[in-house]
Amino acid sequence: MGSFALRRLLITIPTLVGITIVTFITISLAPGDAVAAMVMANPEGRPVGAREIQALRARYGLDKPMPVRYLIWLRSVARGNLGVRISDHRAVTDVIGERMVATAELMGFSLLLACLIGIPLGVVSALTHHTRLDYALAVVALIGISLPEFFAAIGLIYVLSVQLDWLPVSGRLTRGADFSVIDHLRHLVLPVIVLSLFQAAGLVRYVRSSMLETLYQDYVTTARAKGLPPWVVVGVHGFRNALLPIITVLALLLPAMVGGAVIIETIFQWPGIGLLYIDSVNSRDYPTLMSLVLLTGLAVALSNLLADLLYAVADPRIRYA
Amino acid sequence: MTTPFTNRLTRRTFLRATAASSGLLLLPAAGRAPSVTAAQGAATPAGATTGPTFVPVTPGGTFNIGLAASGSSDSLLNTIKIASDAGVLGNYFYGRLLTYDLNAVDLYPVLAERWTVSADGKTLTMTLRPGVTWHDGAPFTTQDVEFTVKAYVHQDTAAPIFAASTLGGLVGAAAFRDGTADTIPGLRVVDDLTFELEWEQPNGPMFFAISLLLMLPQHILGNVAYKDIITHPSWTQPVGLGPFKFVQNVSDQYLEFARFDDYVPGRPNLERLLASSYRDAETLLLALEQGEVDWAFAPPGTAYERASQIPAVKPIGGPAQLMQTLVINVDKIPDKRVRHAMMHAIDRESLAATLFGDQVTISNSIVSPDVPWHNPDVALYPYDPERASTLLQEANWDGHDLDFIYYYADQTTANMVAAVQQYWEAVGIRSKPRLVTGAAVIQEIYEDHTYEVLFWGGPTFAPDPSGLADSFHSRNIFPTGYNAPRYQNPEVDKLLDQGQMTVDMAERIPLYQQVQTIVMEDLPAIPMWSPKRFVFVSDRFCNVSWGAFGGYQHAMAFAEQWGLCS
Repeated sequence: MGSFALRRLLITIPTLVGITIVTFITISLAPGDAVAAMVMANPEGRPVGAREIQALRARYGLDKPMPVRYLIWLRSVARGNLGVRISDHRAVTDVIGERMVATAELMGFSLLLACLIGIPLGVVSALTHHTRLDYALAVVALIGISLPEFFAAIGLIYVLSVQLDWLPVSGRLTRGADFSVIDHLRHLVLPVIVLSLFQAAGLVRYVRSSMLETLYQDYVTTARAKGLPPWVVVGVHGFRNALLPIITVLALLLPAMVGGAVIIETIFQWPGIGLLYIDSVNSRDYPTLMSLVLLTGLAVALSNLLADLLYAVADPRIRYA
Repeated sequence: MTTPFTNRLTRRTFLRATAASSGLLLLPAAGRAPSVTAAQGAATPAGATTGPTFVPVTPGGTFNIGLAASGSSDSLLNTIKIASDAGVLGNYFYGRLLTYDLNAVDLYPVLAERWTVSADGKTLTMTLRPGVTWHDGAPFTTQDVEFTVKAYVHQDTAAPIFAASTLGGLVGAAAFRDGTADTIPGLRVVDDLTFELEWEQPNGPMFFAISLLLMLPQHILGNVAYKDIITHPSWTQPVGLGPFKFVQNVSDQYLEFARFDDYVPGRPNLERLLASSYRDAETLLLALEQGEVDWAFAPPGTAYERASQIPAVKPIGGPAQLMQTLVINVDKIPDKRVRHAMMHAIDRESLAATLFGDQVTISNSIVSPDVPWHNPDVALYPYDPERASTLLQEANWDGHDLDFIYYYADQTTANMVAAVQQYWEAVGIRSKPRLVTGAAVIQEIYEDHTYEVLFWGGPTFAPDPSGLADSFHSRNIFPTGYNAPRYQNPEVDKLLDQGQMTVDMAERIPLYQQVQTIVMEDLPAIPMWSPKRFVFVSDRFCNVSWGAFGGYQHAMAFAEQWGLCS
């Protein structure tokens, strides 16, 4: 298994390089560059001269041809330097680093909540399958999966925040206030609810089908026939085995932990990686964007590997050459 | 989702109750020359007689400005560095020598105290207010002014074009710009408080140019190479001269500014000013409704209507003195008859009434009807689809699809563009609209120049008519400038040059009116309307006002007067 993991890790490297090449080509082909984005922050305003734009481009190395710029970037990364953000010259690692906590709390809490809601409901759904309760949960889950995120987000803000004034509209903290745990948690509530509802809806369906598959296995019938109490049959033999595919699904959701949730972060003005992503694309800030893509790519590769390894650990029948 | 003119906030302090546009038009001002007339060789600051009136307020409080930023709060800091068009932050963080009064005609001293212009209209002598200090306590002197002017002129600094080009007319500035000279002979420091600027030619827009200058701190940036100014680390803790000083940037959440007690024109009432960034325009409106922000811009159309229904806020604003036009790429559509037909085909009155209600004012000239140099006697192209069809037939229009671009991202504009598309289809002109935003704007509009029609808010700004040269002078065709239609007419060039070199506004106005007559005959751009721009402000605060002229430069003047209503 160790050599398997090692081989997978080695393959990851050319994969990541390939991803960065595709990303770089795409962002370079998009109309405009970082300087254009900077000076045209306000299209109705006073323009900056073409000569000055050229000077700025030369300053930031943006006048070099695309392959040259890519190789310069690659060489810098190989030396461990992820570069600086074009707009304010801050180190990319600092910029990304200060977003990690915000992203982790948003994604972490919502994943946790999604599991706490989705898994039990999925089990219940499986145990009561084809009854009215099951159908009701299926409808709710379908609504959860189909409803656009931004629609639910705006709707919840309007009801809970504007009309009832129970929760703040946006942000991670009250503007201008000192840090307070309560304030922070209050700001987490709405974005976490919206995000987790969507994740939970999917989980309900996964868990339900996985449980159903397990509950009809021979060994479960045997356990029941042996006279074991129902909670042992379901909980020990049923659920624990049904959990295996769920674990892999969850492991595949891990990259979102570092990638953030672009739509939710945009609507709630949550200063996470998702917002950084979209800002980097809009401002054509390729050093930041490339580092984000590397980070996410690495997260996907590692979580896929983790999922495969966990599966092998959980299921003794699986062996990797 | 977000609008590009996120920083395009203007408002008028006139009585809000008289929202009818006639009450806000500047036509009464057209007949009166501004109080600065260089021809007489002496000028007095107008502020003393035409300053705004303020009510007493309760000191203290925090005012939260909500900005639909196209980026994070980090990019708001960035607009500081690109200077001049520093947007929202211009007037309460930065210091200016002078600004325009809220009627967009008279000059109002800020950090300058008084000035005179020589009889030949070429030399300006200006004296600063004594006792002004930077936010870090360093004194503000003519050393800073000298440094700022040089930085704006030098090409390595990448300063915005207008200020640079009018300062570029200073004696010896061209050589300094290129780096072949070390000083600008036309920039002279007399003493710590007095300096002189001498131009090669009399300079009509000289005060406008100076009003755009945001002072740079010589004691911090003085030894930095011009090309490095923009990336200097001091910008993470910028130092200004305005009524509010920078405290912190909470990344992607807000910028915090605190009262600067030593602000010479007057100690600010508010304790703090926050600038919160909102990536999503819908969320910003919800934040306004809930009270999370005290100020939000609502573009004309559905957003304005929604904001008008929020009980605890009131609109502040008025005519923006900006024209929104349909620019036509004259290289691609060289036949004047086709361009005339395009204007005849659109029913601008119905379009405006349906989509924008009374928030826009139709103009038949490429200049807003609210400015003194508007010419109402130009060629007219009323809605006449039959005439349009006839013209197109005469011109043998081939009916190919026009590439129709625009950069306002709100839904109302998208609807408007679709309606224009329909009007044109009805007479046989087919078009394909598409939205172009942010970084793509420069490339699409100026560099590639492959579009055929562009809907934009062009830079024919008040308060100075020289903005017309930005759009229509042939020397401003890319790469030297931003004449988007790439229009060339030697007669227009001559008139614009003459207007630039005439200092007396009463003499300049007829020149620019003549320009409009010619341009409206050639029709490189179809004038649509002049929008009014409003921000919605929480009614807990008083004295919040804006100069009602296009552009950020003079928005939010007198921020030291804002405060909690008593």
